[in-house]
Amino acid sequence: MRIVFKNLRILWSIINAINASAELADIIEAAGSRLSQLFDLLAFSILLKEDLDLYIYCDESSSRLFIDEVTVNTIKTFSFITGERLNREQVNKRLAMRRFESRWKGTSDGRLKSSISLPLVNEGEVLGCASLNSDHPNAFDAQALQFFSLITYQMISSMKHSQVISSMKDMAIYDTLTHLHNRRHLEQVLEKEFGNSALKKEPLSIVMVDIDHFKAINDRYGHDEGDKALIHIGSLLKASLRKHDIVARFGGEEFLVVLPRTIMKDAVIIAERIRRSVEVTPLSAGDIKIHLTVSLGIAAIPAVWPDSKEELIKFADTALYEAKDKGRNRVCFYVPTQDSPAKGILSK
Amino acid sequence: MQKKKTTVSLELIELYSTLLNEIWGKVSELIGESLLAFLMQLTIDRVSDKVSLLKGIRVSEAGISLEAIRDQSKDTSPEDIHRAFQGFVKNLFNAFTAITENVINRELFSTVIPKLREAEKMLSQ
Repeated sequence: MRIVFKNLRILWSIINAINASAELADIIEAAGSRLSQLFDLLAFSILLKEDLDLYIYCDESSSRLFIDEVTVNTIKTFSFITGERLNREQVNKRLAMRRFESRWKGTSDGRLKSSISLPLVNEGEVLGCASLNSDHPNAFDAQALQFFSLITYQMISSMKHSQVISSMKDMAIYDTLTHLHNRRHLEQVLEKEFGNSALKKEPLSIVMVDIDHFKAINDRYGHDEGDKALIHIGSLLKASLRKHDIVARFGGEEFLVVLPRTIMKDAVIIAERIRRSVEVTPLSAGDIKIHLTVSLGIAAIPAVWPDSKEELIKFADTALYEAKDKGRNRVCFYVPTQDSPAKGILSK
Repeated sequence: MQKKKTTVSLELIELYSTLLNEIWGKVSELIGESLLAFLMQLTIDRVSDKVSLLKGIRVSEAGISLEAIRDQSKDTSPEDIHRAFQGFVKNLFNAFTAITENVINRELFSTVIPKLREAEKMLSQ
């Protein structure tokens, strides 16, 4: 009876640890690092359907052969549950070595001898499967299965909760149409980059991008094609930027690009790359190709010393209007002079 | 003769209904209703392509029901009913084995084997 109470106490502590985890990786860690307190196992494995991530938490004494056998067995069970044929090259294996408490008193040749797996299912949707793996035969009994199922139910519940939080976070920072960042998020990023630039005396450039004659596209081809044009330009913008650059839909057909630690000369190169990429990549709309162009306005620190990020945006906007005024499909940058606030670069 | 066959068919369905509900009771204690309903539905989906009678099995988290199959019983021979359910139980055991080796099946043998023998006895009479 005392053993049963002890096991129940451990079970609740594992369930509480999973319940307290908000991120997917933390949920898996909460289970993976604690299950050996309750079960006679050498490895805990979990394969998730969404990204085919295979997490294996195993005792540090596990051989490579044992880990391979766990990998194959988990994939086999997953394939049985989902009906999808998978091979080991398709999964992203994430291995975590831990020191597990061992209850096994016999000898072992270190091979996989027994395992139990449970599908992770939420409202009929398979999220993946989780397995307990041992190097000795008949390591798991009916009570182990009962306990493991309670743990997997808690994991499913926490994973769904984490997905909801994650999608709410995404909704707060991403534009739902283009999947670029939204204006609110970009302003937060720019605030931070502007502060860094001022503090560390580092360069910072921004590029305001506007689709030329966007209203005419909507009028001629309809709003669905207009939306496709926004998505098309969004993906070309992303493809033209470096890893640490940030792009957002700023509003309507306007986009704003933040180029941290970038001087004007390099910002002009990037902006020109964007302009050219849009010019040579028409949007396919059924049988026809819609040729799009964009106008771009750059403001860069230290070419200018704005008092605020809002003023920096205003400078980029002034340069953008200069580009529109000079005939569109071009890049202009902001240079403050006494008689003209912006100077254009003919980039065609 | 026809009447007798229909009666046997109904009795067989009754027997399998009892058996499946006993399986439900034992396995749901081990893995919970939700997971068991998923595994049962998975098995039905995989075998009912070949045996359309099994499409009439209704599974939910509340349990398992053969009501829809009872209505079809007069058009189906007792042998076909027995073969269909025997195949279903076998596939269900295979599913349990695939995920938990023998842990679930061990708990079920004492329930399932006598019921299958009883079904065979009904057919031979």
